[in-house]
Amino acid sequence: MDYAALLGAEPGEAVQPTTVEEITAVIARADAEGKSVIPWGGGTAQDYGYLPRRCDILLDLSRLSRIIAHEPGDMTVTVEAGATLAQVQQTLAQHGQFLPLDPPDADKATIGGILATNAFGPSRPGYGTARDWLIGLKVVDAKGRVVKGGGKVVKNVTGYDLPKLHVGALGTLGVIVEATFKLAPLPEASETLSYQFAAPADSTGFLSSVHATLSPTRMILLDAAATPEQAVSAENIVFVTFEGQREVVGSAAARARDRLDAGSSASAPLPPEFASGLTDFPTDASPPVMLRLSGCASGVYERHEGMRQSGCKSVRSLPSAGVTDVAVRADEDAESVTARVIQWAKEHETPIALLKAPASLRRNNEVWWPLPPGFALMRRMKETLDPNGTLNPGRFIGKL
Amino acid sequence: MQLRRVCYTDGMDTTFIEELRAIVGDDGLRVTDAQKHVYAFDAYTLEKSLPGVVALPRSAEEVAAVARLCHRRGVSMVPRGAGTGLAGGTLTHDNQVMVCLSRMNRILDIDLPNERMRAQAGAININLTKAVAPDGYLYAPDPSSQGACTLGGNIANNSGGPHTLKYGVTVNHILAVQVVLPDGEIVELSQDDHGYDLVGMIVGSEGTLGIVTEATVRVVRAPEAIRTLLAVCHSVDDATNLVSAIIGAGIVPAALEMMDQTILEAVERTYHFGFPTEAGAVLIIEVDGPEVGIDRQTERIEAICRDGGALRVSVAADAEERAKLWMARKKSIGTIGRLAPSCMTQDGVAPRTKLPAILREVGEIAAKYDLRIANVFHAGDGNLHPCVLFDERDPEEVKRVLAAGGDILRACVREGGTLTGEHGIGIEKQEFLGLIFSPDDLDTMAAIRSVFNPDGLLNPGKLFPAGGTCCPQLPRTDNEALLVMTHTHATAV
Ligand SMILES: Cc1cc2nc3c(=O)[nH]c(=O)nc-3n(C[C@H](O)[C@H](O)[C@H](O)COP(=O)(O)OP(=O)(O)OC[C@H]3O[C@@H](n4cnc5c(N)ncnc54)[C@H](O)[C@@H]3O)c2cc1C
Ligand SMILES: Cc1cc2nc3c(=O)[nH]c(=O)nc-3n(C[C@H](O)[C@H](O)[C@H](O)COP(=O)(O)OP(=O)(O)OC[C@H]3O[C@@H](n4cnc5c(N)ncnc54)[C@H](O)[C@@H]3O)c2cc1C
Repeated sequence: MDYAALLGAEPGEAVQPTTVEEITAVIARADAEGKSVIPWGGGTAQDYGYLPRRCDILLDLSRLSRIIAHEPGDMTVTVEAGATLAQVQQTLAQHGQFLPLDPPDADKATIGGILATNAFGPSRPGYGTARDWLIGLKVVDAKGRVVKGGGKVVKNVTGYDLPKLHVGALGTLGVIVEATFKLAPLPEASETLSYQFAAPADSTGFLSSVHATLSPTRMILLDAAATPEQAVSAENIVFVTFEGQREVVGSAAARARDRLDAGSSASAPLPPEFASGLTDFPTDASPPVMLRLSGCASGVYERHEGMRQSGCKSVRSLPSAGVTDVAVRADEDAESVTARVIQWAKEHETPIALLKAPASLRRNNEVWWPLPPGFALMRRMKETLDPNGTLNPGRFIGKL
Repeated sequence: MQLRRVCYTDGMDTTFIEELRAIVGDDGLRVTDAQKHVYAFDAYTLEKSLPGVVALPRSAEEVAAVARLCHRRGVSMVPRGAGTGLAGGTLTHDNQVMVCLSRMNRILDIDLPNERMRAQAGAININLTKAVAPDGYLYAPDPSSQGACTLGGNIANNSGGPHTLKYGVTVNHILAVQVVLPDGEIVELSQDDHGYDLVGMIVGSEGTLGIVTEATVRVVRAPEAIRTLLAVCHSVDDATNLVSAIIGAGIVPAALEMMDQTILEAVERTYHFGFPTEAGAVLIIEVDGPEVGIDRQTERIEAICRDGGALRVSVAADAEERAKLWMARKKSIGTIGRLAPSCMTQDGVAPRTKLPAILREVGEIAAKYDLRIANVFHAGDGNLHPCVLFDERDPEEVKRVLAAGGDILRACVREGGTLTGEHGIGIEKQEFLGLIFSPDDLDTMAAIRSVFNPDGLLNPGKLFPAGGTCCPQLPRTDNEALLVMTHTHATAV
């Protein structure tokens, strides 16, 4: 593992605890000695965020990975943070249930990492994000104390909603050790439509109309110029998935197909080489680079088109989530693409984040722009809960 | 009405009052005892106190100016919406300023392409839905008090409602908030922003972190079709077993509510709906979605109910019948006045599979303390509402009521549940937090509070245990704290 590329430095030591007690001891010691702790789950998103100010103890959570309790009758599950999403889903599927989150790399990504990065996938319009499913959380705080919030019941307003504070906090306020989720029944049926459109206006028109009336669980708009390996350009590709009750799925899919009237430039079925676009948006650059623009759903096509116009070769939007991602490809220059996209975002006052980037890019750019109006509160939060800067110091927004 | 002051001081000095008047105007101030009586309690009626003064600002700027003044003078503030809260969160002492948002009730912006709407904090819940209903949308969280309660109060308590089983509670629908911090700073927090989820912190903070002045909420498309079922059961046991069976079959209805015989009797005496009062309990089960799948869903549930021993299952024939069922459910707590002068509604939660056991325990607790307890609750998410019937004028009975309430909460916690599903901690359950949280947990929450509210000037003495962090004493049995009141079933609804 090239730690320096991810963290900017080699960690002083790595520990691989198997119990919460070991974690409390490691963190309490680090906090007392002025050392930093870098939580490590599956390692799929360690290139997200600024470089840590110090890189002393790498806390590998992969062996804290038990499924503590699946209660099918209550539709809840409690798992340790190092469990991978795939592992959790496998257990749940035995009882016809699932945790409706679909971030990339489910085989490697851990529950703790998914929560810490608030990672989500194309299913967000249908199911929301981690904060909508998380009902209880146990963390080890910067002092090495076990602190919990929420519980094991699906409805709960007892005390502050501590679990939400840790979702997307990139491990800067506590190390997640255990999480409880509510669950959904596996859908009875699922159907995905995929089309390639000749005209961009047709693809966006189709997506807008489907979104406004048919409640799809996923919608993806993909634009990838031809590559040396893949000669056909994957421009204006659209995926729409319906999930749920059989009749409902069938009827929604049929109605969506009807929207493609005779004059539409859609062609289907899609060439098989594009099928992977449904689940992946790979960046073939090495090291990988990915940027994300976000904002209101109604502005997403403008952002998507803006990225195309500024010459980005791989652009994917999740329209109802308001998200547009740009992946840098091997045949592009990462630095100049990044600079162009950041400039576009600033000119259009669009929030941007570097989702994946090598150390050099993260050293020289703002990983998140702009700073939110609540940043002063966020700084106070970090200073209050981690006064010594023990947990992932310097990695989060505003280098907290 | 006679009030004994809980926390007597010399009251607010006149220059302070005049400074307040300069901010909110003459018509925005309530200073006389007669004016303030309305604000002496919310829907938690066991404790009452006249606020020092009540300010009714008309804008975020006025709220901010009030906060700056209070901050400068070291006076604490208590936010209030409609005062329908059931945990005493708005109780305001005579050395405190109540900041009541009820005049800030405008809908500011409707943005349907982005499925969102902006409103002031004092907007009444039902008016949010009314504003978008003509376009086929609704604001999903629907507390039974929705005709009165405000968006700000909903946010502060993270309120639920029958349909939040499927659609999620308030926190799942709040996209952004404008908040006045205790030092008077106005800050905009949005879920679209990068960084910590501060919106998630404000929601459910019971007015202890900031005063919400505006919010952007998510609206959802109204379902194409709705079916509402009434399952009549022989006993509470049968009904709660059905709840488990439905959820266990992987069905999450839009709403799944239970009413027991006692509450049915109260509803019948008031409305004469023709409910089967001989039934031990009924379930109201609603499914919604596209027309094409709705009947099969309904039939599945009907089958589960029949197999599970329901005496009778019927589907509301039309919109009118459906409306009647929901009116019965939503107004049911209000009808309890027919059965007893006072009522205390508990809000514990149990895992859904534990409902049969926990309701048996509630029955045993009622017997133990010789009290009548009616149950009407959000069964689908395990959120109990045992309504303990009593007479507030009988201090001995009040003691038993409080002890029974404590036993119910302890039973919920023992079964793996929690203290409150939607009403909040307020002053009612603050001494019970130690049942759920360790001193380290509470210390962390206090640290979070200090981030927003460093001087403790906003809604002090609520949500956190008042005396020490552990050892739940019996709840507020202290007679000193219980105010002598003449008849008060009246809630502020
Ligand atoms: C919005 C988004 C989109 C993404 N898209 C892609 C993609 O297209 N392709 C791809 O390969 N990856 C993608 N990722 C990365 C990846 O899928 C997820 O972030 C992943 O879930 C991280 O899990 P992990 O276990 O690998 O965490 P790690 O990579 O090990 O850790 C991620 C971060 O979380 C912290 N952390 C980890 N575990 C804990 C814990 N238990 N407690 C506290 N902090 C912890 C780490 O310190 C680190 O800062 C994306 C990430 C985000 C945020
Ligand atoms: C008959 C009846 C039925 C009910 N049914 C339900 C139900 O189904 N589900 C449910 O969840 N609740 C229910 N409730 C409880 C209550 O209606 C809710 O808690 C509601 O959200 C309170 O809103 P309110 O405007 O009345 O707030 P208030 O009672 O005025 O205040 C409640 C709390 O919020 C704080 N607060 C109020 N406004 C603000 C603001 N703008 N900024 C910051 N803090 C603020 C107060 O300080 C207090 O702590 C019911 C109550 C009654 C009387």
